[in-house]
Amino acid sequence: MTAGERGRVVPAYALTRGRSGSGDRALPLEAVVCTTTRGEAALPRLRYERRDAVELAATPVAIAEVASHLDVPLGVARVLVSDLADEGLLALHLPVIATGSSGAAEPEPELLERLLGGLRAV
Amino acid sequence: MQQGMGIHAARQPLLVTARTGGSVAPLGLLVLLDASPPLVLRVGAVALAVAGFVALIRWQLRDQERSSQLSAARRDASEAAERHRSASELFVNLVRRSQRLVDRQVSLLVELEARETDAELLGDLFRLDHLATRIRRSAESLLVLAGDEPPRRWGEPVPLAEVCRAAASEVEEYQRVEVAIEADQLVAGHAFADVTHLLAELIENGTTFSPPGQQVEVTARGGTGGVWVVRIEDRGLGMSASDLTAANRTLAEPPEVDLKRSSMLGLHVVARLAQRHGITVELGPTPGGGVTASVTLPGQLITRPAPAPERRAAAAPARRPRAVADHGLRISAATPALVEAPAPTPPKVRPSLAEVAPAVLPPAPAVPPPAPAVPIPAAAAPTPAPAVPPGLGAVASAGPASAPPSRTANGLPRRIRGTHLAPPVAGREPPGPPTAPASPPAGSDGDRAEATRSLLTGFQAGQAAALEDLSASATSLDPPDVAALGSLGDDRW
Repeated sequence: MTAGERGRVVPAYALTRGRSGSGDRALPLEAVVCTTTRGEAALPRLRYERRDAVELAATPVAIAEVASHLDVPLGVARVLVSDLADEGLLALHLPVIATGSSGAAEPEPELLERLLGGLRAV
Repeated sequence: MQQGMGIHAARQPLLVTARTGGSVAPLGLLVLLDASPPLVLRVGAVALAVAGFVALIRWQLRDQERSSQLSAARRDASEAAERHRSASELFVNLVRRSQRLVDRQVSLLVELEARETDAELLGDLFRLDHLATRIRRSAESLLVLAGDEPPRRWGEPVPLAEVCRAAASEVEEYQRVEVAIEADQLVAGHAFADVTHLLAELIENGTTFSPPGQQVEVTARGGTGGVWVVRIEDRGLGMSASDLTAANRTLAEPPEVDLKRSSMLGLHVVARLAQRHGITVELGPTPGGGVTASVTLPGQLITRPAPAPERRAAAAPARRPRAVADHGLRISAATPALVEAPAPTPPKVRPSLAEVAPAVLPPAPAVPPPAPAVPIPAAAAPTPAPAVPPGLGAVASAGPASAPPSRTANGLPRRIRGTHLAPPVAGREPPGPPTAPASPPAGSDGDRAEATRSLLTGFQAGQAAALEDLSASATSLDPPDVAALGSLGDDRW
C-alpha cells in the first residue's frame, strides 16, 4: 500500500471503537454543531479527531462538513459529534427546515416569515 | 645364524604380507618354500611391496567408497534443502499474493465506508475492515518470519500517535486499547509498516493476557539521545521472572524460529522486526500486576515535527481537504492562539458570542446569497492576520476599526472569508452605534466599499436585534453554552 492509496493511517472503525451510528439520536447531515464554552475549555485535554472536531466547530458547521473536514465517513462524524454533544463540548442544532408539520421536507411558515424579516432588515 | 635370522627376518614380513595382503599370501608361501635365501629376501621384499600396494589400493577404494557415500548423503541433503527452499519460496509467494489481495480488499472497504451513510451497513463494513486488517497482519507476520521485506510502504513520516493507533486497530480487541500520546513526533515513513506491526503484536499480547474488562494503555515519552520509548501496559496475570527473562532473551537475540513451537511466534515476529530497525523491545512487570513492554525507537526513526503553526498550515489541508474555505481560514486563524498560548483561550470565549453569531448565517441553508455579500466590505477593515496571535479577544475588541484600511488602498477590497465578520460585530457587541466602525475607513475604499458597508451596517443592525432577542430568550438555558452558540437558536432572525 502506498500513501496515496489510503490517506488515513488509522482506520475509521478505530476512531469510534467500531460504532457507526449515533444510537437513538437522529442526526441529519445538515444538523449544525458548534463548540460550547466547556468545549473551548476542554480543548487542551482533547486528542485526535475529538480535538479537531471541537476546533472546527468554533464556527458552527454542519455534520456533513465535519465528516468532510476530518476525512471520515459520515457515520463516524455522527458518533464523534454525538459523543461530544453528550459531554457538553459541542452544542447540537437540528435543522428546523427539514421537519415541516406535514412531515414533508418543507420549511415552516414561521421560519419563512423570520427569514423574510431578516431579509428586509438587510 | 645370520642367514637363518635373515630368513626368519624375511619370513616375518612375508607372513605379515600374507596376513595383510590377502590374495598375495599363497604366492608368498610358494616363494618362501623353494627359493634360496637371497632370492627369498628379494621376493619377500617384492611381495611386501605388492601387498602394501594392494593394501593401499584397498584402503583407497574403501575411502573412495566412503567419500562417495558421504557425498551422496551431502547431495541428498542439498537436494532436500533446495526442495525446502523452493517450497518456502512458493509459500512466501503465496502469502505475498494473499497479502496484496487483502490490502486491496481493505482499500476497497475504506472506499465503501467513505460512501456509506447508513449506520448499520457502515457497522458491518467496519467489522469486515477490521477482519481484513487482522488477516493482513497475520500474512505479514508470515512474511516477516520468512525474512521478507515489509510489503507496505509509506512515503511520508507518520505521527507517532497515529502509528500507535493504527497498531491498536490491528488487534482483535482494539476497543480495549487506550492510546494516550500527546507528542507529535513523527515516525519515518519507511519504518511505518514494521513499527506498526511490531506494536500491534505487543498490544495483541497485552489484550490477550489481561482480563476482558481491563484496558491496555499505550503511552510514549522521549528518552535521551533522540530516542522515543513507547510503553504498552497491560494489567493481566503477568509473567514469571524466568519467562520474562526467556522472552527478553528471545527479543534481544532472535533465534531461528522453532517450527515445532507455534506459541511464541508473535515474539519472534517482534524480535525480527526490532532487529531490522535497531529497535529495542523489553518486557517487564507492570506495577500491580501485568506486563509492560517498552519499545525504544532509535533516533533515526523519529523526526521532529515542524514548528506548530507551519505544521498546521501545511499538514491540515493535505490530509483533510477543506470543503469550505470559510471555516478553513477561521480555524487556522484560531489555532495558533490555542496551540501556543492556552491562556488566551478563555478570554476568546466571550467575544465568540458576537464572533460566532454572524458566521452562522453563511451555512444556514435558506440564505446563501447574503453570506458572500457580507464579507466583502468587512474585509476592508479587519484583514490583520498578524494581529491574531495576541489573542482573539483583543482582536475582536480593538483591532479592526483603526489600522487596516490602508491595506485595501489598491482599490480592490482584500477579501478573506470568515476573519472579517467578527471584529466589526464584536466591536459593536456592547450596544453601541452600528455605524461606528463603518465611517472611518470609508473614504479610502471608494464608493463601492461605501455602498457595501452601508448595506452591511443594515445587516448588522438586524443581527444585533436578533442577538438581543436571543440572549433574552436563552437565559433559561445554560448561559455559557448559549453564549457560544450564538444565533443558532430559534431567534436567529
